[in-house]
Amino acid sequence: MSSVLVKNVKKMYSLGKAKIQALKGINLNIEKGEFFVLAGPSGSGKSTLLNIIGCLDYPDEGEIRLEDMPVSEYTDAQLNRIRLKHIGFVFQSFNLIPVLNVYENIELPLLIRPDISQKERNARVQAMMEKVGLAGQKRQKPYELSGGQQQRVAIARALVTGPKIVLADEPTANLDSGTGIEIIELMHEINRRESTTFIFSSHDPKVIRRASRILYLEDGVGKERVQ
Amino acid sequence: MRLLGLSFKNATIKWWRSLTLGFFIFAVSFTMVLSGSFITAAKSKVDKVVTNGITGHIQIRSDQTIEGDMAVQYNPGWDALRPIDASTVSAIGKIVRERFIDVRLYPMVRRSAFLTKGDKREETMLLGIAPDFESYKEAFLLKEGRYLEPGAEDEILLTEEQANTFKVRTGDTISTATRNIYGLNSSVDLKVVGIGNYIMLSLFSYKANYTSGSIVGKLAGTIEGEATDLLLYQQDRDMAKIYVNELAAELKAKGIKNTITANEKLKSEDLEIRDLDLDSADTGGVMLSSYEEMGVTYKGVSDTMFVLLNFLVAFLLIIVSILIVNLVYMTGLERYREIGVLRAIGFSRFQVIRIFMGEILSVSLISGLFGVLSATAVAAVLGMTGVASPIPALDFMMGKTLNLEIDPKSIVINMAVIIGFSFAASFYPAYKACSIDPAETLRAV
Repeated sequence: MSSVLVKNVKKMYSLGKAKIQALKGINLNIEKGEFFVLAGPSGSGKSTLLNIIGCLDYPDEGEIRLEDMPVSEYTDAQLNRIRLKHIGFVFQSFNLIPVLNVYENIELPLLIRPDISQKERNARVQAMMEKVGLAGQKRQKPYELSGGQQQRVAIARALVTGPKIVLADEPTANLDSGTGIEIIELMHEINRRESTTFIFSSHDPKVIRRASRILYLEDGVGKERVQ
Repeated sequence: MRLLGLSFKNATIKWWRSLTLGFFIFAVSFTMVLSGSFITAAKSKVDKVVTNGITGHIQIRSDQTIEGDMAVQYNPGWDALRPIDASTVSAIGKIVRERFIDVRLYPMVRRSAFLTKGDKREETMLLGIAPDFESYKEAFLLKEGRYLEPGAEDEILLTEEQANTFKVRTGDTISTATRNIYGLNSSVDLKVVGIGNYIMLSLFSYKANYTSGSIVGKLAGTIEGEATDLLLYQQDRDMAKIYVNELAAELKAKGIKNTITANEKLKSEDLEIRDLDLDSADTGGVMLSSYEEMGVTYKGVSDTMFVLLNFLVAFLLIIVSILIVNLVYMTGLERYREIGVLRAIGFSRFQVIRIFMGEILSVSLISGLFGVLSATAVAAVLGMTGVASPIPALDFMMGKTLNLEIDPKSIVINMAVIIGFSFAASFYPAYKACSIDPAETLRAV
């Protein structure tokens, strides 16, 4: 079953007075449970495509369907809800909220889910902390954690809402080699156990090696390769 | 933890910024409440001065008296003040004693007159008070000498301005001359026993002189027992309006014609001077006025002070608002990335705005509350101890001390104003910061 369907997506954005065609007609079909990588050099359009798949941006042309929902036609408010319920994000710079501790950072997306009770919220956060191996660092703030630990918190935050899709933009770029491997292994493990679709934007060989499929992007054009 | 908890945590992290904002809001709210208490006390003082010294809580005058706000129109002219006849005075006194036991009644005889000494002459109004009338001492602050001896018929109090004009001191005599109700000139020499000033009213060169009611009556040619005014005082001044209506009904029931000036909205220019018919059996009626109608001009001054204060406070609030706008704008720039992340997680624009505004509003609420409560505590203490006049020479402005008064309604209003301004000032910059396209913010991440 298709998790993400991208049909002839084009995107242009302005950089000052210059106009840049970031995507020039991308076609893509990512199945449920895939460990998919968008590879390519800097400026190839990886992050742009990731943002569009992640419902953070609209394509200028083309269509996006997530779990069979025509998200490219949705309003801002609808996209908010899609992101909240169905998508998790992991960033290169972790992007944890500095004033919140580990528990609170993971809990953050659940605060705006009125359908989840406090008891269930507590249970989910606890389970996530254990899953990523941070149950003992519950009260620590991000500045007290290593890069790898911070990224684990970010992964937990991305997964705590039970999303169907996790988008990770260069998740190992700010980590040393050993830690990067740990993080990828963790996400791979979760992907295998829970069939969560993972879509990476990366040029890290450690990530690319584990991908089931890769889309190479260069100058806004994609070429697919199956591993 | 809720979103408000996140706002609060953000506010505490940048504590120096929150402290700066908090200090200004504290200062504004403290100033608002304390100065408001000062103005409330000053207004109340004016009220008390007018009522205690001149008009009473309820004032009864002859309905043939041509006078509007007697507290202002201190020199209404020879024939404007008509006496209430003695039998009516007596009847009203009996009604008040029997039916309104917590009300005290003091007859007053007023007369326009001249003070003369040597070749100097000046208009004034004589306030002839009853021997047991004491509350005038709260309105007239002595600089020299003493107050009137109860029952003494040859004493007078002068204002400082009058004393300087006539170059008299306590112990000297001064002549008072008037034209009595029969149109004949009459005069008497009186001993100056005290020199002072009317609190607040001296600012308006209020010229009136306390002396005995008996001597003014003799000067005016009135019969013993007649009075131009009956001043009524009750325990609860604010009940005056109700008492006026009740008293009017009682007087009517006893056959005493009366009008309530507030209902009639009488103006001086609408009234005509009628010749006093000394032979007529028609004793005329009376008019009842509550203190709220008197001294409106003076109250207008304290209202003006209040408006000026509000301008100052508004200026301070504008400065605080500019500070808030800058703060939120800076915060938006600094937390550009955080906004993008929150939007990516699924926070709507308004949820993120709520977080930003929550930071400002939590600081405003805490520091505003602290400012209001501190000022209330200070005002409460100064209400008990009183604030001494900073310059003794200016005692006549507020008395020797001014006891601050707290208006609970103004405390609530002040808090609402602080929160309102904080809300208004923080909304737009927060909205602008949170309206950035999340994809754009994350492109920079």
